[in-house]
Amino acid sequence: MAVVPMKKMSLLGLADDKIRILSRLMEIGVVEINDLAIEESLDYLFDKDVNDNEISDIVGKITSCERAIKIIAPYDNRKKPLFSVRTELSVHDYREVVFKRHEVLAKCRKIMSLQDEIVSKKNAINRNHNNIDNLKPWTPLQIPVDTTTTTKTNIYHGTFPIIADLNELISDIDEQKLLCELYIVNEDSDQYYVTAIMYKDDEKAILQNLKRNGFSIINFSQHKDMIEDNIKNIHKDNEKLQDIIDNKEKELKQFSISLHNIEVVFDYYSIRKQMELADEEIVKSKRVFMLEGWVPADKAEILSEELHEKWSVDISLRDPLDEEEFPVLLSNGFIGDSTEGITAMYATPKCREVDPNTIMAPFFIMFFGLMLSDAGYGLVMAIACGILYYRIPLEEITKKFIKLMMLSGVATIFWGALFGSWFGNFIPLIFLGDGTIDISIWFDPIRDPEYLLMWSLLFGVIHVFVGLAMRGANFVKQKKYLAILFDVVSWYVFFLGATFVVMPMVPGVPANIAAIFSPYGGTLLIIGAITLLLTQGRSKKGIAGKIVGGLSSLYDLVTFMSDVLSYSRLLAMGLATSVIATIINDMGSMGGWTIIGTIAFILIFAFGHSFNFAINALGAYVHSSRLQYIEFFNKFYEGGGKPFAPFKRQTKYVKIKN
Amino acid sequence: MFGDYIVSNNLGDLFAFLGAAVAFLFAGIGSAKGVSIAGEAGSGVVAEDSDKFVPVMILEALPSTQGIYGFVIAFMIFSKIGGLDLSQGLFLLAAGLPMGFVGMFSGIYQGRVAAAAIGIVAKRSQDMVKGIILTLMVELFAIFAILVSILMIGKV
Repeated sequence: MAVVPMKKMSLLGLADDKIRILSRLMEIGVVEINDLAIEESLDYLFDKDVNDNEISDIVGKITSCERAIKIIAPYDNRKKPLFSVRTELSVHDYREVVFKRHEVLAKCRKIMSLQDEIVSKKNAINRNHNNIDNLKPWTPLQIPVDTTTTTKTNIYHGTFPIIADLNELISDIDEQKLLCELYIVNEDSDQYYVTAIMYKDDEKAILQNLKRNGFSIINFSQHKDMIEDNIKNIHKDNEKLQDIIDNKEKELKQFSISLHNIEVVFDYYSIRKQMELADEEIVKSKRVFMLEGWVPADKAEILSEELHEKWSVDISLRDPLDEEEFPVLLSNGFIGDSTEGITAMYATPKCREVDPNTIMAPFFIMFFGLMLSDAGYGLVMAIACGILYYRIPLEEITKKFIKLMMLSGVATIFWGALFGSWFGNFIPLIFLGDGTIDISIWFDPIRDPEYLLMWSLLFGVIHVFVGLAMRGANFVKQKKYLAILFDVVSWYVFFLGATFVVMPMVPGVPANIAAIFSPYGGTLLIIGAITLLLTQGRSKKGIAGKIVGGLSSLYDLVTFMSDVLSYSRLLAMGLATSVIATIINDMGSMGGWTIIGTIAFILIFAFGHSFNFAINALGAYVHSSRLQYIEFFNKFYEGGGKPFAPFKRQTKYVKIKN
Repeated sequence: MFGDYIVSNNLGDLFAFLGAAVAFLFAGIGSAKGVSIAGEAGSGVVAEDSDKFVPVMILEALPSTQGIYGFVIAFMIFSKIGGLDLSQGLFLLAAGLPMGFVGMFSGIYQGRVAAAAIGIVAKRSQDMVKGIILTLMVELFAIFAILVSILMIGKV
């Protein structure tokens, strides 16, 4: 349980070996390279590369690989695992693909151009569809659409809004002795589609009349002959376009076998980019280069030996200076490292802080179990996550999370068995014939919620006290021994006193136990309060400041009480799960044990418990996290360290085996 | 005579039913409203970036617990029903009130915080946990409400 100690490594090597040394460091992946500044006095000797051009070139290639992967991924028929993992690849196979990288990039370009063509053809089809929509209302038109004039007349096509009164318009035109014929070709809910044939000499006056009523002329100049033929032609055109698209898609599909190679090349260029970026942080002269970085202390010696052996380098290792921040790498045992993700979501510990994970993990797991508290659900969770954990290859972060869920599942079985809840009252209902029989090992919280409330609050007190102990551990690490007495022990006395004082008032606490402790409560409370009054203001300036500081610390009693009360959620969440599980069983068994009734039971059981499990597992997870973040961490945890990010091959698709 | 009337007409049970109804009715309304507030905000975020569906869904689900707690309380009251006298019935009605009302308001307000927390996810999805914690602050009162209700039911 700890933050891994780090050593600072300074490496001086020959410029000729630079690339090889960097590649080797990347392969081992245990050094975090720092951006090294050039001392002013050495300005004339040393210099730093700026690789902007190379990097932008590489980024371009990465982008085209990325686009190509996105395009052909849907055509890939390989089975996709539930959790995506990087495929393992031997160095030999990797090199083989990398050797062909220009070929692969050409394929990417081809894929992209195919996709562009498909997109443009699809756009053309869309345009055609719009065109058809525009032409369709005109299908009843009996003359060729490109006939706009005869010897004596001109022909116009256009639309009137549906509110236009065409009869009145026609009689208007007649009254003015203008020669015009209006044919209503079609109408829909918005407009009339009208063909107007007019005597050439009257054209101007007629058009004026028409336009006054909202006539808007439609130009069919792109089309010839009958409307129907036009529509048919467009359909034919669309079919042709679709054929082209189908062909191109077939071509694309054939590229899907290259997907793997493109992914490898993508990773190759990602690695190249990381190399170039690392190279920018290194200081170099004509003949030598210098790099500086953090190495975990236990790996430092081996690394330096290996580098010494292979190249002529000068390596110096030193411990971090007193105030120097170093990157944080955590190391915990089997149970402890399962909550590293939970802690990281809050904050990474500072480099000189106690890593809370090993202490926190059992609490997280126990609280999770207490809140889900159904052995049936726990069994499902533990088995499912166990199979995932031990049988399926997973990435590191996912694996830790799955492990946490597996352990939480086991804790859920533990609590569920204690409370006698196996898928609610499934066991007594089916096997004992009466759902109300109590099969709990310890007690059934539905029958005696107050008793569990007392235990929940007790767990809360323990958790908070452990949090205070962690504060003490931090002080030990910082060698502030007096602070342990003032800032830890005095709180213990104070809180313990408070706990004893309230004990008789908490429902569920046996009177004889309360009677043992409660007489001491007052004394402890007063001793604690006096110590706090005298010490908590010690960092403040002036007498007044010290007094106010001391007094305001007493207010933390309220915080402590509300912290502890907050653990009542352990009871509430746990009860919610088991009560709903019981309701599901009762509802399912309402139909009796006929065939239909049994089928109904199975369906309700499967659906109901899945839902209950999902919603309560989520609840248990977030509430268990919250108890760590708010109630536990605020007692001691600072956070804000920089996670250790070693220079290594960061790949997305393949994992290169050395 | 009035006592006979009460017993023969099961008025105690009637009040207990009212208690169950109040507990679920209002807590359910609160959750429905809260989840919908968060859901509306969340749909906008998912429309922009469908990868954020899971964090948005988790935040959206948070205000649904009030409805579940109300359901639990209603059920616990049901299990008491059957030949209750008037005072017991009124006790159970009273026991339904905290869950019902606190559930309703905490559900709605938690939904608003959840919607704001979805705003955090929209900008920085790595800060989702902070959003969850802010949202859970409201939850505490629903938890106290269900506790008070449970303890009250336990006394009948």
